[in-house]
Amino acid sequence: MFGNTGKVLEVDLSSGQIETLELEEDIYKKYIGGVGLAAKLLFDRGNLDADPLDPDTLLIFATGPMAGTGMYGTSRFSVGARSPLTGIWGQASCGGNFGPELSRCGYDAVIFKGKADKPVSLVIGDETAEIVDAGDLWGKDVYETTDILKEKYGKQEKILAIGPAAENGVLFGSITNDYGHHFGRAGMGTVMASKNLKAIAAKGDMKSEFADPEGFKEFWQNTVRPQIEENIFCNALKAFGTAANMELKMMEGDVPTRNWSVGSWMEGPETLSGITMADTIRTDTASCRGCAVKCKPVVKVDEGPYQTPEGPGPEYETIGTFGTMMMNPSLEAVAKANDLCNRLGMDTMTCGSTIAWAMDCYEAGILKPEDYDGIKLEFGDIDTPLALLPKIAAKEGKLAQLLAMGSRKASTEIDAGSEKFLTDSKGLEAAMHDPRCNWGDGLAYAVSVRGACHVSNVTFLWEWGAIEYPEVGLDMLFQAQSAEHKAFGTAVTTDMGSIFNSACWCEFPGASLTLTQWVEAFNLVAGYGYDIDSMMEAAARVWFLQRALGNIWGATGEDDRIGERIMTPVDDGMIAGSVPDMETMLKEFYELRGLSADGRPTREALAKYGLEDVAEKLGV
Amino acid sequence: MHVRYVGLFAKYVGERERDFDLPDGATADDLLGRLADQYRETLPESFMDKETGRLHKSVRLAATSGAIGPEQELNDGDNLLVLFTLAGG
Repeated sequence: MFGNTGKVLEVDLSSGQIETLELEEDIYKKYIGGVGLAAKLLFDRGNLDADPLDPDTLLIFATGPMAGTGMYGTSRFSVGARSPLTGIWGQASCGGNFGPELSRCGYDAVIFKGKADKPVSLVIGDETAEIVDAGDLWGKDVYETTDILKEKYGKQEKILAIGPAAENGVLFGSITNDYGHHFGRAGMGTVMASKNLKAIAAKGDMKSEFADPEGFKEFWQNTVRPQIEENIFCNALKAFGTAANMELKMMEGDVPTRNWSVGSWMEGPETLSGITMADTIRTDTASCRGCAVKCKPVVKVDEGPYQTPEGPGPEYETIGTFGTMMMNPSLEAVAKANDLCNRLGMDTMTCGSTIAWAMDCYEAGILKPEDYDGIKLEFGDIDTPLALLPKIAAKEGKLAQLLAMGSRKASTEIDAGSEKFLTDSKGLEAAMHDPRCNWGDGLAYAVSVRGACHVSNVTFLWEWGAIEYPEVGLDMLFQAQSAEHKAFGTAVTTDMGSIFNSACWCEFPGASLTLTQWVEAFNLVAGYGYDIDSMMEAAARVWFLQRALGNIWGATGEDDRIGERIMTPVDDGMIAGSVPDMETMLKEFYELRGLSADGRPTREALAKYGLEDVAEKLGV
Repeated sequence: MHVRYVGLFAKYVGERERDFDLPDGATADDLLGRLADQYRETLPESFMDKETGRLHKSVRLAATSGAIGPEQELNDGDNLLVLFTLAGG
C-alpha cells in the first residue's frame, strides 16, 4: 500500500486487548483518510446507540495519506467521535508533530473503545503498542503531563495529552500535541477522559512508500513547494500569523465583537492584531512539523498582572473570543487566557464564546451575581474571566458548572430568554468570522457536519477570494452580502473541507493547490487513481456519511440554523443592517445536495455514493 | 481621488493614505495599476502578480458601499479603501 500503511490499531481499554486491523485499499480511495476514515470506521465498528461518554463510544484518531511526505502542512491529523458538546458527529483537526509519527509507527489510525478501570496512557512504537499506568499523571495539566512523558520516553517522543478540564467533564475538553497544537473543538478531550485515557505517546522509524516516488519528488520540488512559498496568503501568515489582517477584517465587519452585537470596534485591532503582537509580546514563530509557513506565534509576557511564561501564543480565534468578544483590548490578557486554557485543556473558542454569552446574560439581568457565587461577568472586564478559568476546568462553583456545559446547554439549563444571545449551530459556537459580512459563512456554519465551524469546510477562503476552483465551475463573481451562488459555493467548499480534513493537509498551504494538483498529489503519493470527479465524489461521500451520523444522533433540518445573535442585525459598521438570507441559501443547498425537508439525505442521494447501508440505518 | 490603507497593506507600504490624480473615466482597475506602480518596490513579492506585474488579484478596492469591481468608473473626490482580506484563522 502507498501513502497509507493499511493498518489500524484497535485498543479495547476495558479488556486491555490491542488488535491490529488490516484495511483494504478500497476504503482509503472511498473515504480518503483522516476524518473520512474515522467516520467510516465508527459507522462500521461502533455502537451508534452509545451516548458520547459511554464506554461503548469509539474515539478514533486518524492520519491522512500524505502524512509521510513532508510537504508543508501535511503533518496535520484528525480525531472523530460522537461529541459530548453537540451530541452529533464531532471531529477536530490538529497540526503539530503527531500525525506523521503515528504513520512512522506503521498505523493510519487508532480506535479506542471501552473504558480503562484506572487512568492509563497508550505508548506506540514501530508496529507495537502498550497500555501503561497513568495514575501519576491524572490531574496534572497538559504541559506538565507532556514534560513528564518526554522526560520518561525521550524528547523526540510525540505526545497527545488531556488536562484537568476534560477529566472533570467540561464538555469542551481539548487534546493537545506537544504544547502548542490542539484538537480544540467539540469536546474530543472529554471523550478521551471518559475512557480514563490520559495520554498517547508515539515514536516510530518506519518510512512511507509512495506510488510514484520520482514523480512525487518532481511534483513537490518544482510545483507545490514554490507555489506555497510564493503564495500571498501564506506569506501574510508567515509574517504576522493568523491575526495578521485584523484591522481590515474589523473594518469589513468580519470580526465578532461584544458577543456579536457591535459592527465595528476599531480600537480593538490597534492592540490585538498580529502586527501589534509581532511588535510587542511575540518572541518567535513556530511551525507544525516540516512546514515553512511557520504561522504560529510564541509569546511571553514578562511583567504585570498577565505575566505568562514563554510558550505558544494566541491565534486569531482566541484573540477574538477573549479579546473583541469581551471588549478586552489587552493582548497580554488574551495571551494569559490562552496559556491557561492550553494548560487546563479547554477549547478557547467555546470557552470564550460561552463567557461572552454569559456577559450578555448578566447585562440583561438573566444571570445575577447573587445566584452565581457572587460573580459578575461584564464586557470590558477580563480579570474576572481569567480568575474563572481554573474554576471552569474544575467545575467548581455554580457559575463554573453552568459555563462548563458550553453556551447552548447552559442556555437550555437557565432558559429565561438567554437563547437570544446564542451564536452556535447544533451546540458548537461559531468561529470568529461574521456571516453578516460574508453570507456564505452563515450557510457553511449551518450545514457543517460538526456544528458552526469554518474549517470543516473552506467557504471562508472562497468568500475572501483566497481560493477558486474553475475545474468545477467555482470561479464566478459574487457579492459578500448576497445569497446568489452561495449554495453552490458552499457545496463545493464543503466537499473541499472534507478533502482537506481527510487528507489532513493544512488549509493554509493547501489553499494554493488547484483541483488538478490535488488529484496529482493523491495519485503520486497514494496511487488512488483519482480524477477530479472521483476525488470530489469521495469528498461528498465523507460529508454525507458524517451528515447522516448527525441525523442518526438526532439532528434535523430545524438544527440547520445559526444562533439568534448572529441573525440579529447590528446598526454600525460596514455590516449595519445585514442579515444573511438563510432561507434562500438553505433551500438551494438542500436541493443541490438532495436533502429532504427534515434535513436527512434522501436514499437516492446516499445511493449515489454507495451509502445504501447508511440509508438503511437512517431509515430513508 | 483619496485612497486609504489599513492593516497589513498599510504596514507594508508604510503609510495610511495617498491622493491619486486620474483622468476622467478612469476605472478601479486603472487605480489598481497606479497602486502597483507606486508600491512595487515596497510590497512583498507575493503581493505582485509575476506574469502581469500588477497587484495580486486578491487586492481590491472598496468605496463606502463595499467592494467595487475592476470596471467600476471612479469619480473625482471618491474616497476609497484598499482591501486585502486574506489572513485569518
